[in-house]
Amino acid sequence: MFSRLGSAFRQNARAYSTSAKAELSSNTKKAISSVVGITGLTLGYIVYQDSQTGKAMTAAEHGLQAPEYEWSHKGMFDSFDHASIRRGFQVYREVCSACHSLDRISWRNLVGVSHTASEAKAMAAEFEYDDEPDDQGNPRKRPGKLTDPIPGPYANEQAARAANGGALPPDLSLIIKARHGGCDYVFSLLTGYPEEPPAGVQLAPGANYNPYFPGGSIAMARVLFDDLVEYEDGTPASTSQEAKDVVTFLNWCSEPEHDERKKMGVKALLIVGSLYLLAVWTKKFKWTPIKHRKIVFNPPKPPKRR
Amino acid sequence: MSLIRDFIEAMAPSHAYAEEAEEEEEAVEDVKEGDAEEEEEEDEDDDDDEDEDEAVDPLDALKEECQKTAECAKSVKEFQACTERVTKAEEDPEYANKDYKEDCVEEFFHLQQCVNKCAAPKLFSHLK
Repeated sequence: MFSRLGSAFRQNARAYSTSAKAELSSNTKKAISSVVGITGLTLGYIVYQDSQTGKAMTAAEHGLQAPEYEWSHKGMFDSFDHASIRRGFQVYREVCSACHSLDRISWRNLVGVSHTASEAKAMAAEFEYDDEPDDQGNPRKRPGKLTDPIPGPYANEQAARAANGGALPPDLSLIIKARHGGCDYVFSLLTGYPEEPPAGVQLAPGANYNPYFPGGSIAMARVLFDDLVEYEDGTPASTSQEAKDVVTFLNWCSEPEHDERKKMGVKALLIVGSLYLLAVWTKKFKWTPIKHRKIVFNPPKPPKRR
Repeated sequence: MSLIRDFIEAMAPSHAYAEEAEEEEEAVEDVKEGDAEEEEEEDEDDDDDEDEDEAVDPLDALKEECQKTAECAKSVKEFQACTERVTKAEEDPEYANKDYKEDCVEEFFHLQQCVNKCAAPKLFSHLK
């Protein structure tokens, strides 16, 4: 557009220089200036109208900022609390798994992390999985093995939505990585259901109020209550304890490499750190004679003339 | 020392201890699990009786404590005032037709932020 305008101006200028086309060129000039004027006025009006209203997200739409908690695995050199992972799996199994799947975790993943091989085998065997068809081609079922993924509560997304009033319970395998605020957010969400929503909040039927959920209206109701599960290690099962354990478990699901990663980090820091010191020493070693040398120029005495 | 051991382990092939050390232990564990399950079943009947002398959730206790601090007292007051104001407005027969309906989300958020700031650092020392 601008290039076209520019060429029009150039033609205009050329028209000025030749007196024969003077009348035509003034008409063109008028047309161009009126187009420019109308465009400018329209744009100005639009910008002005737009500046009259502002649209910002309200605090409720952002959701309440989750506070930072002192997770036992938070620090640079901290590993997961595996007793907590084990308790968290119990919470997932007894509470969360009623609606949420855990597709990316297999029974074998639990072995050596929170459960022993025989415990994991026993849990897997409680579920039925599709087996190869028999000789007549009829489908068969078999008890689960360690290599099977942990089964979800619903056959597919439609079934999940139909059972939850249109809302899809997200898969929890990567939920800690998938939400801003990670552990802190999920913990706050689980423990943050107030007794009743603040006055004046309008909720759709079937929706619940949670300040941490952006918008405040969440399909999931409060699920964790005091003494909902009974821990095998005798830990008092308060709501916050259950939430902490299940979030630790979910964080492990999201980052199963977490412990190994931090261990590698320490080793890498040590090795790279010592290599850095070695590099500094080598540089000094090599450069010392060069930096400390003294270059002296003794001009030869001019030969005496006789 | 463990660091040096780590380095040695990193170089040498390591062992994973996924299996139980002994068969006997497993049997004991199974018995324990069985007991726990039985107890659970029994407890379900008595739950109502036990509810009264249960320990309070440390998070709830801390939040309550924090609401009483001087810093949060102002937020509590504002939230209560807002709740009263909105409840009063809701009683108005014309409420449904009003253009602007106030809610107390912002006051609630301020209160929660104050309470969280006070309770969050302390909570995990009360949990296992």
